[in-house]
Amino acid sequence: MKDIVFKAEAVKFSYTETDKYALDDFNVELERGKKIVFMGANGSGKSTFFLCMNGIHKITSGSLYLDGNKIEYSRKALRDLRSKVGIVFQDPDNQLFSASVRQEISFGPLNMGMVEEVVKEKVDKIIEELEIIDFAQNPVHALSGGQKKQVSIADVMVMSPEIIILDEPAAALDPKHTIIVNRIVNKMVEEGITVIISTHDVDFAYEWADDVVVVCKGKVIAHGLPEEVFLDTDLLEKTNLKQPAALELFNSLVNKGILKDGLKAPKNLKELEAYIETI
Amino acid sequence: MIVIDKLCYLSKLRYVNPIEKFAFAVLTLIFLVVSRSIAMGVMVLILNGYLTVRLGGIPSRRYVHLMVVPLTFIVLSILAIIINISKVPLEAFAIPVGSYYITSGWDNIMRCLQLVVTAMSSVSCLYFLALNTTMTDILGVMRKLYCPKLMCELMLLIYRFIFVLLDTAYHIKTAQTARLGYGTYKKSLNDFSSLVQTLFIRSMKKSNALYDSMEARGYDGEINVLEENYPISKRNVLLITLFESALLLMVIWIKLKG
Repeated sequence: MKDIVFKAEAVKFSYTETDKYALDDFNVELERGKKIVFMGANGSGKSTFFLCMNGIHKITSGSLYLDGNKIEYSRKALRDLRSKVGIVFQDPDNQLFSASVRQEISFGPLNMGMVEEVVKEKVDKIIEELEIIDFAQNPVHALSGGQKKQVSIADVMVMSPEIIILDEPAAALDPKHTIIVNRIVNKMVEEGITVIISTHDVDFAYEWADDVVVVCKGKVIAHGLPEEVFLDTDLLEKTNLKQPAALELFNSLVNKGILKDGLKAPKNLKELEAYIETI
Repeated sequence: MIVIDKLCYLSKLRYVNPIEKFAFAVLTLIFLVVSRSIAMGVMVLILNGYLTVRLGGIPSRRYVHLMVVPLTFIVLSILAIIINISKVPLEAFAIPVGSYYITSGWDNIMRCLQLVVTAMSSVSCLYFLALNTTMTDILGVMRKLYCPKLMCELMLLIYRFIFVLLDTAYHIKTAQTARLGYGTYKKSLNDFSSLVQTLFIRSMKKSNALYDSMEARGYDGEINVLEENYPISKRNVLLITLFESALLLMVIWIKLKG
C-alpha cells in the first residue's frame, strides 16, 4: 500500500477566471519520503501547481489532499497547510524580505505561532546545519546569489514541513553552490521530508529522482520511475526533453552490440564507464 | 547612503547594544539643539569623531569626507546671514561697493559660528548612530520605543528593496549601454524614461512575487521577526548616564545664565 502524502484530483485552475486554464484536469499522487522531479517546458504549469499545493492559489475545481485530508481554505487550515508544505522560490530576491539573515529565517516559525525561545533555537540550528554561519551576520544585500539561495532554503526548512518544493533550485548557481544545495537536499531526504524539485536538467533528474512527473499544458502526461519516463522516446519528443546522456550512450552501445543486452541501465556516466571497463 | 550602509557593517561598535548608542546620540542631539552652546558643540564634535573613527574604526578620510557634505550646505546658507548690504558700515568688516557696503557685525558672525557648530555637532551625533548601527538594529530600537508597527514594517521592506531596486536599475542600464544606449543627449533622455518604465513594471511584479512568497510562509498581515539580543554593558550605561547628566547640567546652567 502506497503512503500518499499529497494528491491532486481533476484540478483546474485559471489565473484569469475564464476558460483558459493554467491547470486543466491535473491529476497526481505523490508518495511520502520520495525524491520527486517535476519536468516540463516553461509555462507548462509546474510553478502554478506548486502555488496551489501551498494554498496561495485557490483551485477553481477539483480537489487537493494532504495526508488524505482535503485542503480547505479557511484561515486556520491555510496556516496549517503552509506549515506542512514549504516552497523555496526560484529567485531569492523575491523571497528574502529582511536585511538580516536571522530575522529572515525567523519569519516562518513565528508565523506558525512558535514561542520565541524555540524559534531562536531552531534558527541557530538551521544556520549551523546549512553552512550559513559564516555570513549570518552580513546584510542580505551583500550576499552572493548562492548564499541567498542557502538562506531561502533555510527559510523553509526551519519550519520543518512534510513537503519541501524547490522551484528550479540550480538556476543561476555556480558549481560550488550546486554541490552545497544538493547536500542540503539530501539532508532533507534523510530527515524523511518529501522533496519536490522542478528542473530542466535531465541528467540530474534521471540520476537523483525516485519519481519523475512530466507536465505539459497544465496536465500530467507521464508519471513514473525515471528509467520508464526517459526510455519513452515519443514522450520525450513531445515535451522537447532530451534523453539523459548516460542513457543515450548506453542505448547506442547496446544497439551496436558493444555492450551486452539485458544490462541494467546505468544511472550516470560513471556507471556506464564501469560497464565499458569490463569489455 | 550606500557607503554609510557598508561602513556600519564593518564598524567595531556594531555589536554594542543599539539602545545604548541610540540613547547617547539622541540625548546629546537634543541637548545640543536646546543649548546651542559653542563649547558643548566643539566638545561633542571631538568626542563623536573619536568614537566613530578611533573606537568604531571608520577610516578618518571617509569620516571627514562625509562631514564635508553637510558642511558645504551649511556654509552656503550662512553666507546669507553674514552678508548684509547697508549704507552704514558695521564693526566686523565692510567692503565698499559704490555708495553701499557689504558688511557684517560681530554679533552676526558669532551667531553664524554658533549655528555652524550646533549643526555640525548634531550631524556628527547622527553620523555616530548611522555609521555604527545597522538599519536592522535601529528598527529594533524603534520597535522597543513603540513606534507604530506599520511604519517599522514599511521601513524594513523599503530598506531591503532599495538594494534590489538599485541592482535592477543597474542591470537594465548596463543592458541599455551594451546596446549603445545613452549615446546622445536626446537618446539619454529617452533611454532613461524607458529605464524608469521598466523599473516600475518590474517593481509591480516583484511585489506580487514577494507577497506570494511571504504568504507561503504563513504571512497574515503582520511581519514578525526575531529581535537580535545584545548584552547591556554596565560600563557603557554608566558612562552615557554620567556624560548626559553633565550635558544636562551644562544646559541648565547656560539657560539660567542666559
